[in-house]
Amino acid sequence: MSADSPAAWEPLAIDPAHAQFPARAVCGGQPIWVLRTNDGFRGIQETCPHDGRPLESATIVGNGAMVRCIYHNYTFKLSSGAGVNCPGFRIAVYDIREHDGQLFAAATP
Amino acid sequence: MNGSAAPAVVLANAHVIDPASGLDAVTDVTLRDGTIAAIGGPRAADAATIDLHGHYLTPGWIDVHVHAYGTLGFADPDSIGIYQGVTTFVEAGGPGVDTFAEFVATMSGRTATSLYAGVYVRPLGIIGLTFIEDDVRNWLDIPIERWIDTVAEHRDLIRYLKIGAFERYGPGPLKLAKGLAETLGLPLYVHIGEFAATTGETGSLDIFRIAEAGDIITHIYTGNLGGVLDTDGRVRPVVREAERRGVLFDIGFGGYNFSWPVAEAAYAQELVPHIISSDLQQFNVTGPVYSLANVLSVFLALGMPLGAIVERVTCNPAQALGLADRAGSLQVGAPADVTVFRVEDAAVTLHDCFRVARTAERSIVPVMTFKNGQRYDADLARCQDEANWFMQIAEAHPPAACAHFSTTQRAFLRSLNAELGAIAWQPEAAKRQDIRKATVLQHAVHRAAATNELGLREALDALYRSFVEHPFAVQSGLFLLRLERAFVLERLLEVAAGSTAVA
Repeated sequence: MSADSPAAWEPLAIDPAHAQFPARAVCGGQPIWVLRTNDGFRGIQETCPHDGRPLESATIVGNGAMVRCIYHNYTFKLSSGAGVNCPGFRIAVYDIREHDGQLFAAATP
Repeated sequence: MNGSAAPAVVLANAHVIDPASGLDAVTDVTLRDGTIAAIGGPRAADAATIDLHGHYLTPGWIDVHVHAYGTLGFADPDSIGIYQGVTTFVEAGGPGVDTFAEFVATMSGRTATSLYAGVYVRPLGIIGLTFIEDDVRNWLDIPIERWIDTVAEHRDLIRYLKIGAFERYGPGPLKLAKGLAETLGLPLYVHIGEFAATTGETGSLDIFRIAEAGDIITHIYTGNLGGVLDTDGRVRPVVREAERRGVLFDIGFGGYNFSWPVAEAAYAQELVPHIISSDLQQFNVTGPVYSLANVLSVFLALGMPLGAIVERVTCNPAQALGLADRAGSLQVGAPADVTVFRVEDAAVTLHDCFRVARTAERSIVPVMTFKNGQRYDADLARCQDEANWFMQIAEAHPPAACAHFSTTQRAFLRSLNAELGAIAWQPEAAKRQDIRKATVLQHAVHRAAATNELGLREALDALYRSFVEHPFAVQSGLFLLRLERAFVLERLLEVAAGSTAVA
């Protein structure tokens, strides 16, 4: 099932009009953070793969292209989840779409 | 840099603390020809005077634990040196014996801050992935002949042998490293503090039994497993016994290994470090470490007297590393390495590595540094520049510096493309990294340099600048191992051709 297939999109229990971002959600049974970026929304896994600290307070950097854990500066591409300054590390990232006031998420392959 | 070409400079009216001589008074310090010319006494008629009333003046600070080179290093190492009051620092394990030639090639003469080396027991040096550092399998060989030759050749540069003490190691590797250090005539410098949760009794405490007088154990206020306190918060007897034998304790604040609760409990039990160091690196410079001065403020907050703090960044580390002939004191005739700072009476928040905060009433703020008599005004923001600590690969275009490569550098890149074309590698997930392959890739870099009779410094400069905007110096094999092979081969040819428009 491709990410473009409507069936792959999972509704999130977040009201985008009123929620504080990053907002906690669940996609595919995994806890995620939904970030608001310049380009819309993006989902990332809950914790940093480096040492497991929460990515809730991670900062969006690189003109919206990357996210950086505040604890040790491990930085990941929001497009693919690949580590930038920490090769070999990767986070799961999620496409987030808004439709009729409802957010949907699908894991980025 | 603020040049001061005057033949003599009187640093007047500062509160001078020189623990090596016991001096603790308001007086003048005169610098001339890059050395300490006088303490007190009449002012030279020809001297320029800098009035430092209200400031403290000490020997230039020594930071025995920084990461200026390698996978944790900085583009601008002086930003954590002379611009922060530190006149001498020691690279804590970036190079190993197999990468030491690269360390020398890339770092010699690069810093105004005096740079010394602690060499890691793993031939590649520190890899920079915490969960790999504790796997003894990636030590590979201990090439004793090359160790002896390397240390003999660079005796003045190399100041200690570094190893981490981990439960996964057990005591055997620590004994091997201790034996190697003895063979080489170097102190052993040992990381404690597990990177991950371990089960059962931690093996890292073995190092407190194995280390001997003059060896240094760092991260002694770590909040991770393998620390100095037992489960009841009491200093372990084995730690006390090591201290009695003359083993030295160091802080190595870092991004993982300083805990306020541990520090407060240990300090209250008079387990006090002999040396205070920062462990500054890419991954902690934006907090919680910031600077060695910030770590010193932490000790003010713990209640350590200012003179005792100064001792731990001047004469104590100088003696521990055999540098007392050139650093750590204000002895007349010694190099004019001087740090000027003030103690600010204003509340500051100081975090440990676990976001635990304490409010301190005072903090130590560097004002200026003199290195061999040359003045540098403090600039604590300099190290915070993202370009200094964020090594980002220029994926879209070759960096602008490629346009200035020499013909030989381009020929080297072409040869390197051919060498690497015969080697398969993948930037695999960190836990599966093929560390042995890093050595294979490094040999290819060195062969390509030799083929073109290009010095290692110029070769590595061409390699780094083909991929990154700012001149980070990293073990070349590890550097390549982390990049996509197809991208590397394409980029090398593109830059070698020299015809592509640069960003």
